[in-house]
Amino acid sequence: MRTELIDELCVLAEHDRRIVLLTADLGFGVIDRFRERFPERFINVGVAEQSMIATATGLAEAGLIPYCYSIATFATLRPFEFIRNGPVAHRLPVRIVGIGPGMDYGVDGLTHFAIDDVGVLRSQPGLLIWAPGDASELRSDLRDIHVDPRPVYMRIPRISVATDLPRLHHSTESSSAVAILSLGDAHVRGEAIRGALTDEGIESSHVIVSRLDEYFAQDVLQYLQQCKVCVVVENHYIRGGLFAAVSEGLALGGLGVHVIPVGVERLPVGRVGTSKYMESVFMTSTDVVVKRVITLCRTSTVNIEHD
Amino acid sequence: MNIESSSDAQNIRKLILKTAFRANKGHLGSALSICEIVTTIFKVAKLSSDKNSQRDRVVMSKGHAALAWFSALAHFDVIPLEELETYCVDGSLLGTHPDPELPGVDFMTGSLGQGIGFGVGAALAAKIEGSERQVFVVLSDSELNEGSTWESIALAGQLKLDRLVVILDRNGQQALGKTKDILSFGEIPLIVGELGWNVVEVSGHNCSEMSEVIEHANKSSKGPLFVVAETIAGKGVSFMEGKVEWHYMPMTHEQFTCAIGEVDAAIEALQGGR
Repeated sequence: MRTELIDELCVLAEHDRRIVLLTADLGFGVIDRFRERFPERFINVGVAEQSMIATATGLAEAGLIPYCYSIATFATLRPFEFIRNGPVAHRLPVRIVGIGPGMDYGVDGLTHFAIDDVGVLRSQPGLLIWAPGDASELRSDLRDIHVDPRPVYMRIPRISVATDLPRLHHSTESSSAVAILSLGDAHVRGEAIRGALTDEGIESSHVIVSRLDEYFAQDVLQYLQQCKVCVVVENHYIRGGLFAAVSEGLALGGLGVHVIPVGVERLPVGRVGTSKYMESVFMTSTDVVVKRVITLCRTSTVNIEHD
Repeated sequence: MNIESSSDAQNIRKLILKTAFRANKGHLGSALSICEIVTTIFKVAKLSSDKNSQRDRVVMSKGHAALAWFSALAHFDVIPLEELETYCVDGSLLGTHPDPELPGVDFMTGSLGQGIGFGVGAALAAKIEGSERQVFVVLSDSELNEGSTWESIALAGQLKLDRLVVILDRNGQQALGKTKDILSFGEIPLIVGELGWNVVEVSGHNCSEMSEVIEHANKSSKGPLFVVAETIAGKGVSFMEGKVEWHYMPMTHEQFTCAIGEVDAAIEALQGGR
């Protein structure tokens, strides 16, 4: 999705001279198009993520709209205090573009895994986390996100898998008794879980959470009104991210729903492999999830059968 | 007349002492160190309290010396003098570090090594927009301990941000001791010069010298300006000068009376000089 993002940014930048693209020396072969078309608005700050966010804060205070590009974990964790004291504290429209959520970078290892970024940034008032589910959503919604006055963290996977699944923030209907919520590109795993549940005769509804902000708790409460068991799927540690956000929303709303986390369960070190392999080793397995859903459904009064 | 200090700076010094004593707060050494620096900025910068986009920007990167800036804002009528009386009072906008909700404050600082980066961004914005507005950053020498400070110094030199003026308050002290004894970075003017800056060393207690350096650089500079201002922590109060403990300590009543007496005497001497 990196290419789609830069392509769309070029389209926006043709008409919006406020756009400035900063990179912390990453984006080989991806950001060239912007650099060539708008050299005066392209800055490579060097391998210096703190400086990138601080500089972006100064640019945004002057009325410009800076996009800060790096690998997701580098763009968020190294400069976190700068994000907190910069765009968040000053309420400025800095856009932090983090590439490669979860274990997208596979063999590159833990240093390259963004599996705690949402947990950290979700704590910040007034910051929008945007995790588009696929390239189509990125293309259709970037314009909307671009004009949002809040600071935004964009969690962008390298590869897009197209999906027609609904997005939570657009959803007006309630889920079925068993619901699946997937964070951004984790919808692929969410669909695998839904398929496995269907094989067991369990009907479920599935939506993508692509926006996490102060409206999320309200959206999730509305969506889960009829829900008894909710499976939360994310390319993230099971602590602090979407699972925590859903659980907080339910607790605050006083809604009694069993919530099953699907995510990275332990420190992903000690072996290397593709993202698919690492996920198979370190993330909650589909078999375990299906068994827990079945157990919860049997011990509650949930009507899970197909009509 | 040779203005070694100025009555403006001394009156700001007096406001710092009165305000800190009223609130029973410290950070006096750091604030007294930069009275002439903030006075100089008020003299050379085009400031505006209404957030006019073309105003010059000021970043108190050494946010713990905010009281010096607040006192300057009050002295130069950007905020009412009475507002200083709310310093550190519940509900006030005047805490020990600057908040941009306050007129005359452009950026929030307090975590060392961040403000200079905001200033680099502000100067880059001016360059991109082709604006003549300037950005002034007041940097403490303890901030040179922070790696992020060097990221920003290197970037500003690389980008030739000639609307950026960093004034280093080189008082040689930090929270727990002398800077040279804690984490020494060697010949700062040489190092910063190597990174593409115009470096000038001045007395940080001489407003005229600092003003001249900045105004001269405005006419001739093709890069960012790094003013190494030699200062004395606690300047103007003999028993605080060069004493590390005055980084944190508040004053007793007796110390306050003595300190005010010294500053009043300095003001009288300046008036006598006219």
